[in-house]
Amino acid sequence: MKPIPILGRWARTLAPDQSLNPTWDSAGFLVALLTLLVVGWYQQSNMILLVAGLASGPLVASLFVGGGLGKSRPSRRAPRYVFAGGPLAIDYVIENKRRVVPALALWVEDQLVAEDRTVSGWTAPLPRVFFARVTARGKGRARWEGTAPGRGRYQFGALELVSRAPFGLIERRMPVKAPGELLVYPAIGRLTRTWQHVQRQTTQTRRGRRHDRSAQQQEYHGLRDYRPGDSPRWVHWRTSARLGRPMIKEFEQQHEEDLAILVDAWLPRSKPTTAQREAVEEAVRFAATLCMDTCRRQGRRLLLGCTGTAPVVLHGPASVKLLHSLLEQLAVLRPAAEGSIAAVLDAMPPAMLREARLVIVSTRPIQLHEEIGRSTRLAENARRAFSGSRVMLLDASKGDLNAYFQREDRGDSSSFMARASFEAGKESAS
Amino acid sequence: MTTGHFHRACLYLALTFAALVLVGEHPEEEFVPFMSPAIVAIGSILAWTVVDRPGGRGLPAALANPLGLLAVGLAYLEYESNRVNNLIPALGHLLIYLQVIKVLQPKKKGDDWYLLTLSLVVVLVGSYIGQGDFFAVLLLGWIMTSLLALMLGHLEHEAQRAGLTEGQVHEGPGPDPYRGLFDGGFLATASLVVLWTLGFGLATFLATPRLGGGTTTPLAGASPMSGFSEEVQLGRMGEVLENDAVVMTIESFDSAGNRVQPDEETHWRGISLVNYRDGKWSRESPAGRPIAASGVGSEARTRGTHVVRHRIKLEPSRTQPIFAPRPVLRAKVTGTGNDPRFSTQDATLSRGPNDGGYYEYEVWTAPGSLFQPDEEVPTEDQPRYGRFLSLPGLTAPGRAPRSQLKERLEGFARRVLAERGNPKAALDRAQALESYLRDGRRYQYTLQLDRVRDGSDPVEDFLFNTKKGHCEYFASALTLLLRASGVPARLVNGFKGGDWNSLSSTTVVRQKHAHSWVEALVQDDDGQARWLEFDPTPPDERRLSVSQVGRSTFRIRLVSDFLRYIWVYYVVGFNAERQRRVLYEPVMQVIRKAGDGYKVLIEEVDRLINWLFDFPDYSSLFSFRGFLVTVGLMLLLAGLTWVVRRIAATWRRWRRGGAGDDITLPGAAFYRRTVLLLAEFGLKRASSETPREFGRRAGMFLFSRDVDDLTDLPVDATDEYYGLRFGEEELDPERVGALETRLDALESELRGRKPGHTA
Repeated sequence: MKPIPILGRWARTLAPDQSLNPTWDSAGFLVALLTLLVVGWYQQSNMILLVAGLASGPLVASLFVGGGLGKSRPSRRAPRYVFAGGPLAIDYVIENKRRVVPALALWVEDQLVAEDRTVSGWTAPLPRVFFARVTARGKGRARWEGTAPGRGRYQFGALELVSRAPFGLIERRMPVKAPGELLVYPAIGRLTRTWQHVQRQTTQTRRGRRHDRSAQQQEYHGLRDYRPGDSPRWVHWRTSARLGRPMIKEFEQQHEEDLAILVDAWLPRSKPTTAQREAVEEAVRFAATLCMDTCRRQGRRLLLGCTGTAPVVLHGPASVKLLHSLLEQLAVLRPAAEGSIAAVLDAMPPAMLREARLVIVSTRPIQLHEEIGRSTRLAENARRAFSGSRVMLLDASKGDLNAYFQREDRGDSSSFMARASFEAGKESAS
Repeated sequence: MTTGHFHRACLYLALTFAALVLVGEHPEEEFVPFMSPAIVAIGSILAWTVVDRPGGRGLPAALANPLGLLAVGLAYLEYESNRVNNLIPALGHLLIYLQVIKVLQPKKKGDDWYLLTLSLVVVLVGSYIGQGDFFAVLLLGWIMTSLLALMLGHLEHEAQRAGLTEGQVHEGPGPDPYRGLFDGGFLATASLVVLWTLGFGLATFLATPRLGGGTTTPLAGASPMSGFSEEVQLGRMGEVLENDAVVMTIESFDSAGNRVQPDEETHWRGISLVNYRDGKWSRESPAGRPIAASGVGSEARTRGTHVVRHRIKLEPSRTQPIFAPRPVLRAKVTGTGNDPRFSTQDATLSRGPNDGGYYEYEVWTAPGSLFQPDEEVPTEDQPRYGRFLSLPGLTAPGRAPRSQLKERLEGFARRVLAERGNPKAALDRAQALESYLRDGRRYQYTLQLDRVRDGSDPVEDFLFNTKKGHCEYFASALTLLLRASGVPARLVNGFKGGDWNSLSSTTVVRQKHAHSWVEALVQDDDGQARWLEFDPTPPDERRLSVSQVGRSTFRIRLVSDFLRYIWVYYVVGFNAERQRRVLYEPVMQVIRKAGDGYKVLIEEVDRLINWLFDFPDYSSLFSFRGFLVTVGLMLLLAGLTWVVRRIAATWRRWRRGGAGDDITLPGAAFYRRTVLLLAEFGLKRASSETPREFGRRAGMFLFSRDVDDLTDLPVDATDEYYGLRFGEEELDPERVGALETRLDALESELRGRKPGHTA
């Protein structure tokens, strides 16, 4: 064997990659052992010293026989995202690299650390799984199932391999770096019938007024190749001439109007109350539910605007991809004392500002006309149009959401199914 | 069978081993001492089959407590039956009863430790009662089964903990989570653990400082050996001769301290017997003035080149005479106990009546030397001289037929000597009589004794009737024949030869090596009267007889004797002197050798340092040599500082588990955010900078950016981070919230009010 690898191995042996902690059992054991040693030494009794010496063996063996931590490689398979309060399942695998000796009674402890505890709160699960026996050169698998913590972005800490082998006297811990991220989306609730009713009424009223929109009530969507049966009226001649083959214009029927959800997650700078915090969470949950509901059907444009130090606006055609972006934004949304609806309105695209239906969810009383007045981009005429049934202002701190939204128990089937169908498409990260 | 069943089985085996240790060394025919292990074994089987099964019923606490009291009563009664010898065994038996009661109860967590602790105390009590060979085997059995029980108990306990763990998903209620546990890998692990335990246990045992001669061993199990008391009935030695038990283990050294093998025919002299009457030999009375054996010969005699030193370890025995080859130049105890005493009259070495346990002593002797203390050789004018010539008269009254033994012996001696030409010299007469008995044609060596004529003297019976016997008969006959021919003689009992063990380089003397021979007072070639040894026993027949006792093959005997030697010398008899010899001296020797090896190097370095630091005055410092020394010292100081800092950093990293970046500490999101935000604007912490120094620099940076009201923020965030990181404080959410708010403001100030991105 070459000397350098040997030195490297020695260096690794000396490196403090494992920490040792005595257990309570070892405390009693140590007391008994010391008593024996002192009595044996005082009496100069070889037999007592022999028994004491042999009794010290397990303690020392525990220091040097480590249950194969160094040769075990733990790994984790966790979903990339889950919903707050929903089920969270994480799979753990241990690979035993030893050739002959099995790994026995190993624990893997994991840690989820919230990136921002002002968002996620102070409690996070500590997954812990037990591997009774992992054969030599084999793999062991175990699953941990728990409840997802509060919304936010979480980092997985190092996986800790824990063993008390061989006697349970000393606990040996070895951290293994296994970086990972878990995004916890806000919990999804259920929109009430009242909400559906209000939606319908508003849509009908607004359709009656939308005579200025495209006469065909259709919206240009894109181009595609010609197929037999297509009307010649739909041929896009300029593109066909450029490409040398007939290209057909596609239109999408516009049944529902665009929606802009503006979330004003306001929280006072000092000493916010529990009710105020809960109002923020309620507003975020409602916004997430609205996003989910809207993205189930394609054809609408959806916008999410959030107040804060720097206002954020995300928008696009309703799709799964957009939904992920919106839920991620809502997951990490930090309540703030700064920011205003007016700033969000200024950041909105003009088309959406002009045509979309606005749902403003706030955690404080808002005077809409004052916000419009503060807006630098809203023209005078737009200010007049920006009122009435196109804007829905909801104050979560006053319980305005209760009529339109219900928080869901985990067993609620309809919303759960909706989430399940959404989760079916999600990717999982290893 | 599941792992749990194996665990219980090992635990109960360990308890049974402990109970067997408590039995000590009792003759096999005694049944009562074996009751306690039997009770433990039966209780264990009952618990294993009934109590420990799922749904099994155990002894309820309401019944266990009265049973415990009953056990105390039983132990007290046992103690009362014999207050002198029964205290320790009674305590041991009480522990056994409590063990059995606990075994029969339903088990809870921690009961394994309780039971094993009880068994540990039982073993300690057992170690006080007996420390024989069997004890070592039982102790090893107890250790192995206890370790296995602890290992399996740990596995079972961990599996139970896992069953209570929140979130863990189990694949069905399998009966054994460690199915297929006992494979080669597990056995390898278990072996490693056992080896570590035994190895380190023995190392701890050996390294624990000894203050004196070692343990005083109890007398339990020790009994007097036949043939070695002050009064010996002829024929009793036959019991000893058929016994294979070890009597003593001997290490022999030459004058240079090297191990040597003693002569195969060495006579390990024990007690000499003078008076004979009715088949019974007794010691010369009074046996003379005993002196400390350390003063037998002069100190100078023990320093000769031909001197051999024997270190002898006697097994526990109630026999007082101890053994050594002639001549004894000096003897001293090396273990515990008193120095041996030497009788100046019959040259018998003996120990004190309370030294009957393991007794270890050293004897200096000189093979071939004729040294004898003057007091040992009687002169003709001394009354005791006649005792060595006395012959038995009539046989005891009432015995038939009466015979004149004395006349018959004298007539026999005359006839034998006449056959050999009537030698005049006492030495020649003795040799003639010795060879007459020894040649093996007329008298046969046997351990099967048949008396032809009841009531006759055993020696008379041997000489004239049976003509068969063992060494004691041959020696008795020669002693009496020598006396009948006018040569003073005495019988000596001891051992001849021994089994040489090449592994341990020791001689193991067993009871079967017991031997009798004769010492006759004759004038040697130099004309001086001395006690000389004569051995009339046919040597070949005796050797054959000795080899037939004991059934072990040579190799097994070799190994078992070696193990026994380790046990006797390095465990039971380990003392300060042996510790110094085995442990300290070799270490010191290595250090001395290493010191010698580096001596040249050290001298050169010393010379160099002397040259470098030879500055007679201050002005000489300002020279090229001074420059070199100064730079060297500065480099050394810098290196030392670097090493200390590295060690401190390693220590800190080890304290926190060896992994992770500071700013990823849970709860330190605000600090991470501060660092990242500042890094966005090109402000990064240098490796030579502490976080607080960096915080101050960041504050100045913000001041330069006209963010006046937030210049304290980096230092404040650092302070909070320090509290979290080093003070292990749980930060108040409100404090964190306030920091986050100020960070929002800072972020807003630095970035300006920019809109978010668009998907």
